[in-house]
Amino acid sequence: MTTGAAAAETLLRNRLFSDLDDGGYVPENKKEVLGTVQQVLERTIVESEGNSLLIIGPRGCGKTWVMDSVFRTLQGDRRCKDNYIRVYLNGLVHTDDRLALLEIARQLNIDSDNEEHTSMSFSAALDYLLAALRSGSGANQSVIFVLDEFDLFASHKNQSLLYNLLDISQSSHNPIAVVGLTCRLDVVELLEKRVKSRFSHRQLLLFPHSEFRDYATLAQSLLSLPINFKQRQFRHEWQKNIQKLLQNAKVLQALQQQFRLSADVRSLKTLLLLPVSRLSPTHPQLAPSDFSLSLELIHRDSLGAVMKGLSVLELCLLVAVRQISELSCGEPFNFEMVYCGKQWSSLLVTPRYGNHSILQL
Amino acid sequence: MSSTASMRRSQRHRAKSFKSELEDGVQATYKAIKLKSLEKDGRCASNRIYGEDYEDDGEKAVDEVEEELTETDSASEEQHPKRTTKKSARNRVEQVSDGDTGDAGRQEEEEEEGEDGVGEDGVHGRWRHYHSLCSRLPGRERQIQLLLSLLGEPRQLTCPALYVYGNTSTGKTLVLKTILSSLQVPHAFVNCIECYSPKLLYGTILAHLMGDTSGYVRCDSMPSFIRSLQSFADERTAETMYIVLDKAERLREMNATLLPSLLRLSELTHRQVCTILVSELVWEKLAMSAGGLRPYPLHFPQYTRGEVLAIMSLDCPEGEPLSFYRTFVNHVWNVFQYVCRDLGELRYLSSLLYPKYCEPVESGETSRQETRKLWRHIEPYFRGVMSKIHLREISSAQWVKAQVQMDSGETSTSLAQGVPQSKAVLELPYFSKYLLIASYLASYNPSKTDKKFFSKQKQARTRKSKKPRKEKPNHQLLGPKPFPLDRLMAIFYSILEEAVAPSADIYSQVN
Repeated sequence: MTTGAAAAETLLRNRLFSDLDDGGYVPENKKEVLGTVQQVLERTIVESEGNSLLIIGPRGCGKTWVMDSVFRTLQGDRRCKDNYIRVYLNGLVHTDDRLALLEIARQLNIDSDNEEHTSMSFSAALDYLLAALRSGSGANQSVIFVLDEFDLFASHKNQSLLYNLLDISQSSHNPIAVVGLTCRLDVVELLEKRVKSRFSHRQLLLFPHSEFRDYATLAQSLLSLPINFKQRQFRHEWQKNIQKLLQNAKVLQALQQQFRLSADVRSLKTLLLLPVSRLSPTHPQLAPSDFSLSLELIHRDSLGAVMKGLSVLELCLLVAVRQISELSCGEPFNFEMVYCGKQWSSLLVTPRYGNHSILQL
Repeated sequence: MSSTASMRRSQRHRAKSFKSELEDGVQATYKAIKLKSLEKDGRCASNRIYGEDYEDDGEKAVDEVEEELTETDSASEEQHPKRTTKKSARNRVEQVSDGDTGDAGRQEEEEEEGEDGVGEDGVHGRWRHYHSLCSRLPGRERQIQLLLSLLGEPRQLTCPALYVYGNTSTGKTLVLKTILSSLQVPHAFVNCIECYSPKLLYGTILAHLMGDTSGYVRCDSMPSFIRSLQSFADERTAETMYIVLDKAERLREMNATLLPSLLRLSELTHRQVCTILVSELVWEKLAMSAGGLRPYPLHFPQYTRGEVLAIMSLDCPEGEPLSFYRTFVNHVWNVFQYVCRDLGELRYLSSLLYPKYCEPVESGETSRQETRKLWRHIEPYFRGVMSKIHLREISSAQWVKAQVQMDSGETSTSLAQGVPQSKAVLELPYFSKYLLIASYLASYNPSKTDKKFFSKQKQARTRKSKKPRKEKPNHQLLGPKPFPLDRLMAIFYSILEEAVAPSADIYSQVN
């Protein structure tokens, strides 16, 4: 069915590229982390206490996903639903405390004057913002700050943003929660002493899958279509196909290779992209060859591939360069030396080639 | 009489059968191309040597392209069944020009239905353009197919970052530009050499996305860039925005956080953005500055022989017979392939040399069929041009003029005499020449040997040592070394034959 394949493709792409729909399977290690984060944030919102915590894990293992999941659950929770505001900052984007402050003001929906803020000191400005928030609504609204790339905030001048945020979270007249996401294990060492003392030292570690079984189950859940999928017949065939695929040796081999190289979720999604994107009316079910092709494309030897496109002359130059670099034992050399050297002239056997200057290499 | 009647009958019969054959042929080709490409990908699954595969692809690609080009459009358009034209709330009219005979496979006008744009025949969405793209860009069918699969429909989510790499002139920028403009999606095409600072980059990207390719929108920092992207996306109702950054290796030198944030734009803006980086370097060179997110790699291999010939035959000037031009292009390839496989360079060379090649034909000396004579005529020019590849020391107009001058004078087989020297040859005054020689000697000879070479007295010969000496590195290789001024003067006086008093003239010439 034509629309079946197209709808399946759209749905699966949503799964692969946005964190909204994850197929429902949550591995064990993540459940713990989810539970803790949720508890902490609930305490902040409901009981108005200030909190800070750090989630540490390598790239692609799901830190942002954890935060998104928790917020989705909080939206569903009656007590918490309208009682918090989320402020999202990223160390790559907000490279300066001033930019961060403007962003906070914007996300808290406060109309602020730029001049006022530049004249005030950072802590006064932040207090002003939070007070404005409080006076706006009746009860205390908790603010949850999510700081992505937390380690980059530690490289700002004086770490003033971090200091002020953590200070407020400790002093608890404004209930805020500071959640830092980072990939550096030693991020606490980066903090200054005064900042470190205000931090609650609650760190949650997220690791990628340690067992292939979990990885394969995650792959299966990512690829399965949900029960409420419209074309029932298509879904039935699809599920059968997925079951078969995950017994297939080629597919398992591809998954295993990817697992051995990097066991995180992002690399799994990259592997699954090509098979999903090749769904079409003529090709409505996934095939084992898609998986092997995908693996080959991702892990192709790029340098070798580029070298295949060089002409013979350029390859001779590379050979001469290699020989000279061995001779000079690591000392630097330049193109002039290569041209004058006997290695190069010995490679140019036929006088037909002449003496060329290749400027592009 | 009967013979003419029977001739007419047989002609009509042939015409009918030809037409039906044509129709069958078109269908078959279309299916075959699709199947072949799927099959090829199936074969990719097993480990094989790239070389074999690419050579194969090249020959097949030429045949496919030729088939496509020789079949007429009208037949192919009759075959594509009428599509249902349902107006949907979000209407995107795919605009296609009809009846253009130069290009096989252009589709009819159609409107999308719902999200998929699925027509009755099943050729849906972006795959409608596949045929026309392949005919416009010979040799890149596989890459076009991969790109179209990965990019997905404009309403679908796609991978946040792609990395396109390959040798020079392999069609990376061309293919991307053609695909994005035929899909008619909002896209920005930015060259990172032109936009050398983050602010310029943001401004140009925003201007391009809004459709103004020469404008500039003021944007000061990454947060405001993200906000502008978000507001732009909200106006456009959830279509993916494609940002193509050419010469992406320059992004490493700009801000340290620029490359990682560009790769994550989709995540940061919470909208559908796809960043495509195009570069000649491999990803490992950029990986250090990219902050952990690896884009999806897509390699554009160098064109094979068949593909090069197919592309270069498209360059055939008007009025020239194609087969004649093809033999010429064949010669060019055979001679220059070992030196240079860069398609741009080969096309430039052939445009320079083709008039020369045609000369004997035009002057009536030889006919077009006498390829050996033509080859003998053109061979010395090939040899001369060989040393000038990539250099562009002279423009093509100058070269042509030089040829004319040379031919009107005496016939000479060496091109070098005809080419005007672009390098300046200075005539130095007498002392300056000696100073130059002295400085060259001073820079390359180690100072220990000065006494041996330049002293005017006889030296007592030292006994040759019996120990084998270590092979000293060739001093030429190490490059010139700095030397003090008095050493220069000492050598200068020793090589100069007459006695010259140091004077202001000499010292000023040193300066």
